[in-house]
Parts: sequence; C-alpha cells; structure tokens
Amino acid sequence: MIEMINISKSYNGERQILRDLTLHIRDGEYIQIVGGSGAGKSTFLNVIGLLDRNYAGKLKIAGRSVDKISDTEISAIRCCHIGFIFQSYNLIHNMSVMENISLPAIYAKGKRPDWKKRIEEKMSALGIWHLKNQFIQYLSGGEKQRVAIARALLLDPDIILADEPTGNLDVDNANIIFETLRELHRQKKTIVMVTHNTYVASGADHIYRLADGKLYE
Amino acid sequence: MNNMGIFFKNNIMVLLRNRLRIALTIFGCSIGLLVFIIGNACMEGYFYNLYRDAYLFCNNVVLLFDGSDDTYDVLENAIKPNYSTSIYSSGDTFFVSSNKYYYNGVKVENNISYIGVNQNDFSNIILSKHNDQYFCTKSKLIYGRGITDADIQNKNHVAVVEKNTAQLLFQTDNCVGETIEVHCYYGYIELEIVGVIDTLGIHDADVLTVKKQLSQTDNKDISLYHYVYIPNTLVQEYMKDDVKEIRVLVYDENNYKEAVSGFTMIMREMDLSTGIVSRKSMLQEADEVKWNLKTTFNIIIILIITFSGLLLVTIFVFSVKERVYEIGIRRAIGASKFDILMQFMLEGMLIAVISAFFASIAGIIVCNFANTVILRFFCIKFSLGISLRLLFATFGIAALQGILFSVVPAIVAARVDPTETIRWE
Ligand SMILES: Nc1ncnc2c1ncn2[C@@H]1O[C@H](COP(=O)(O)OP(=O)(O)OP(=O)(O)O)[C@@H](O)[C@H]1O
Ligand SMILES: [Mg+2]
Repeated sequence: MIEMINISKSYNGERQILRDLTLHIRDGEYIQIVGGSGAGKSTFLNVIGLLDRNYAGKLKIAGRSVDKISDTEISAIRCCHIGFIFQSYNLIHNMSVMENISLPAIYAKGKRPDWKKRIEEKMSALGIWHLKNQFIQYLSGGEKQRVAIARALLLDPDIILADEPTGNLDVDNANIIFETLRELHRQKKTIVMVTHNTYVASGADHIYRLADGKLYE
Repeated sequence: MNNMGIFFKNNIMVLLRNRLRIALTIFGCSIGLLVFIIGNACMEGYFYNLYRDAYLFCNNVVLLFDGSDDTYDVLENAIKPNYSTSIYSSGDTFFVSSNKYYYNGVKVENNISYIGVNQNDFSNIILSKHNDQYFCTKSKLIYGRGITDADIQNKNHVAVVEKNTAQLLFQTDNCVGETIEVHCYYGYIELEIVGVIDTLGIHDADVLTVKKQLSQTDNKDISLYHYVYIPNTLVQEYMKDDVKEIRVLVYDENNYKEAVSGFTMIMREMDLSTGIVSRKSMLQEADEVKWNLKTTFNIIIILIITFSGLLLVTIFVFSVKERVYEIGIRRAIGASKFDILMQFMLEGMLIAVISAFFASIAGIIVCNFANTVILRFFCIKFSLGISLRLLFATFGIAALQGILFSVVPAIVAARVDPTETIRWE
C-alpha cells in the first residue's frame, strides 16, 4: 500500500531527519513506530501522509508514484485515501464538533453518500454523538481526540496515520483509541501509528524504532 | 445532506460566525456602495430635472432673446416676415396694485408680470412661464374675447388675464369689463379686461408651494405669479425699458430648425450679443452638464470603491494570518490550493454581495426619507429614485469588488503550508 524507497528528508538542508528509508507497508498491515522526541516520527508521517512534499527518494501510494503529481491530485488522495490523526488534535475552534467532522466532505469531490447518516454513524461508534453541537474549546482532551478520529474516518480511508493519538490522554481514553485502531485493523485498513515508547500494547503487526533517521525492527 | 449542504454549512455559516470582523467588513463595504447608490440617485434626479426642463422647453417652438430695442426691431423687421412666428415681450416690474388679498386668512401678494402679445392667439398655443420654465400650452378663452389685431394696431388699453388671476383680483372668474391700473415707467395706465383664459399649465411644484403655504397657519405672505396679456404695442410704448426677454414662438414645428439658424444668423450679422436659448441649446447644455457631472462622480466613486476595497484586502489578509491554522487543517485533510483559493474568493464575494444588499436597503430608506424631507421643507418635488438598473449596477460592482479584492488574500491563503501550521497548538 505504501512503498518508500530511499526516502531522505532534511530541514533547511542541514539536519537530516530521515536517512535513506526504505519500507514497504502492505495492505491491511498495522505498523507501529516508536522513537524519542525529536526523532522525526511526525516528519515521517507527514511524508507518507503527503503533507510534506520536500523529500528525496521515491514514494508510492497504492502502487502509484506520488512524487511529481499536482497539488489537486495529491489533495484528492489525501482527502479520500488517507485519514490523518494528528499529534495535536488540529480541530477548528470556531466550529462545532459536527462541522469539524463533516469538513472532509467538502473536499471529497465525487463522493455523495448520505453525509448526515454517515456522520452520525461515525460519531456514535466513538461515543460522541451527544456532543454534536458543542464547540471544540469546551471538549476534554479525550473527546477532542475522538472527534479528530471521527473526522479522519469520515471518508472511510484505506490508510490511517495516527501521530501519538494517545499522547495527552489517560489510560481509559487511550484504551478506547487503541480499541478503535484494532477495530480498524480488523476491517483491513492499513494503519501507521506513532508513539513515544513500546510500552503501549497496540496489537500492531510490526513495531519499528526510528532513531538517527533510520528504522529498526 | 448533500455536498452542497455541507459546503454551505462549513464555509458560509462559519464565516458568518466571526461576527465582529464580518460586521466591520460589511460596514466598510456598504458605506462605499451606499455613496454610490445615493450619488447616482441624486444625479439621476438632477438629470431628470435638467432634461425635463429642456424637454418642457416648448416642443420645438420657442426662442428666447434678451429684451433690447435692437433685438426687438430685428425680430419685427427681419424675422417676422420670414417665419410664421409670434413675438412676446415680457418683464416683471408691472404692478396692478400693492394690494394684498386675503385667502383663508393668509395674505396673498400678487406679483403680476405683463406679457406683450403680438397677435390674437388665445385660441392657439400660448407661451407661458412658471418657475422659470417655459410651457407651450393650448389656451382656451372662457370669457370675453382675445386681443385683436385692431387692439395691437391702435394700442388699445386692453388686457386678457388667466382665470386664477381673475379670481384673486376680483373674486370671480368672469371679470370682463373690469379695469386694472398698472404702474409702469411712464406712470399709470388703465387697462380694461376684455377676456379671461383658462389657467395655463401651472407646474406641480407651484400647486404644492401654494397648498403648503396656505396650510401653514402663520400669517406669512405668499406670492403668486400671474401674467397679464396686453398688446405688444403697449409694451413698446410704455414699458420698453422694462422688457427683460423677448420670446418667439415659431408656430410651424417643421420650420423650427430653420428659424433658429435664421435668427442666429441675423442676430450675428447685426452684432447683437444676445443669447439664444432653444430646446436644442438647453439639451446641449444638459448633455454637457451631465457629462461633466458623471465624469467627476465616476472618478469619486472609483476612489471610494478602491478605498473600501483596500479595506477589504486589509481585513482579509489580516484574517488569513489569523486563520492560518484553520487553513492548514483544511489543507491537511484534503483541501487543494484551489479549494482554499475558491473559499476565500467566495467569502469575499459573499461579503460584497451582503454589503450590496445592506447598501441597497439603506439607499432606498435614505432616498425615501430625503424625498419626504425635501417635499415637506423645501416644497420641491425632487424625487430621488433608485432604479432597478442602479440596483443591478450596485450588485455588479459589489461582486466585482469582492472578487478583485479577495484575490490577493486568497492567494496568500492558498500558499499556506499545512506542515507549518498543524504543528502548532
Ligand atoms: N519545519 C521545520 N523546520 C526545521 N526543523 C524542523 C521542522 N519541523 C521539525 N523540525 C525538527 O525536526 C526534528 C523532528 O521533528 P518531529 O516533529 O518529526 O519529531 P517527533 O519525533 O515527532 O517528536 P515528538 O515525539 O516530540 O513529536 C525535530 O528536531 C524538529 O525540531
Ligand atoms: Mg511528533
């Protein structure tokens, strides 16, 4: 599903964050990446999530090379095929929960499901339906993260990228999130999750450690 | 809910949620557009009056000269034989008496002017003047007779008055046989009223003025202007020095153009520095005034719209800076640069169109209010009207303004790098 061939990434040409990474993530695989703070985990996710396009090397998503395609096409892939759960929830504050979750629908050109039903489904699954008209600033961290997950899952993406989804949460909330990811794994979604340490019992197929710009099994 | 619904809800409703910013932007924009609307309405009203004066300036049948002896002689000797015309001379310093008449307890002062008539044409079109506007009206003799050629030849002391004059002077319509005494340069002359004609076209505004003044209870004098028609030969004899203008009525409309150029040529040959006013010259003048005004106004409007547009740009660029985070998120979850560009352009358009809407409503209110006030306090029926065309123009300009001035902010917004922004929090 995701093929990285000799991917390197540096900021301002000085600091080499990723060095010659080659990794093949297969369909339905659940990958966990661990690494210390500043190891470049978010950078790694930004590259495979097509947010950061300043990298060297070759990247293929679903067999398609994405190194040189236009912004519109990249955006379409990002929109419909990748669900990104950010390290900091990245919700829009002057919008309600429902509006935040429905946001990807605007950019999902061509897709026309019954959005209302779809949104309700996703929200109920995560137990946040009752919050639908709340504004983001009044939510707790766990609730925000679930809203972010609902948004990431709205368009049923094949790939889910989660950047420390449990970083700011207590154990109970963290377990809800992990259970959600395991459920997605059972649905044959490709998942890449990033965490600080291996302590997390995620149920991932593979765990890699990112250090010095390299990945270690 | 379809895509459109989601789009509407997430882009437009959210936009409107930032109330202060939106209110300020719309306010700024509306002011500019309001100036445009009211300015245009005023101009349209003014042009309307300008052209109405010109068009009312007797359907191709009048010419005006100042009232010097020479002019009169030229008209009598060189022009009259060649064209089918009637020549009037007129002046203002002609008093019937200094009497003030009471009308519902209000003093009514009569300012009566004479009009020297050259031939008996009360069965024909007659030239009259109200509020500095000339009218050619079909007159109708209701009592007595008109001024005859014999009257003119023999300089008979006779006069024809309008019905309303008769009423004011003698409290009756039929005052044939009565005598009026007039003051003029040479002293007093007595005139016998031989005929009464129907009141000639009084302008709307005249009626309004009178009604208004009569309805006010204070004992203010009101003035009515009347004309007394007398043989022109009398004018020549007694009031020559008072003649202010000579009006020429060309009966045959087909001859009008020719007559005008004929007059102009003769006058020029005789080196008479008199002005010729015709409908054509009035129209020309109106055109000129219109063009000058429009140009000035357009320049002002362009300036105003540019300024309010710059306000838009500033607020928008500012809002892009403030919304970098939001834009980054939108980009991260799948919005393309183009989507962001469109979102901002749309916001600009929407704000502009909402502004146009408010400006139109404000414009309509202001104009109606102004019309009422002008009518009530100045007795001028000056109607500020907002035409559909003007409303369309307003919306068009607003839309254009919205697009033009949101391009820059939209481009700035589209260039936001998602990776830079989603790191924050
Ligand atoms: N835009 C940038 N410009 C320069 N340096 C950057 C930029 N973004 C990240 N970095 C640097 O790259 C390194 C890796 O950052 P990254 O966010 O990927 O780390 P991380 O592994 O996700 O850390 P954490 O666990 O704290 O989230 C850091 O040292 C960071 O300072
Ligand atoms: Mg990180």
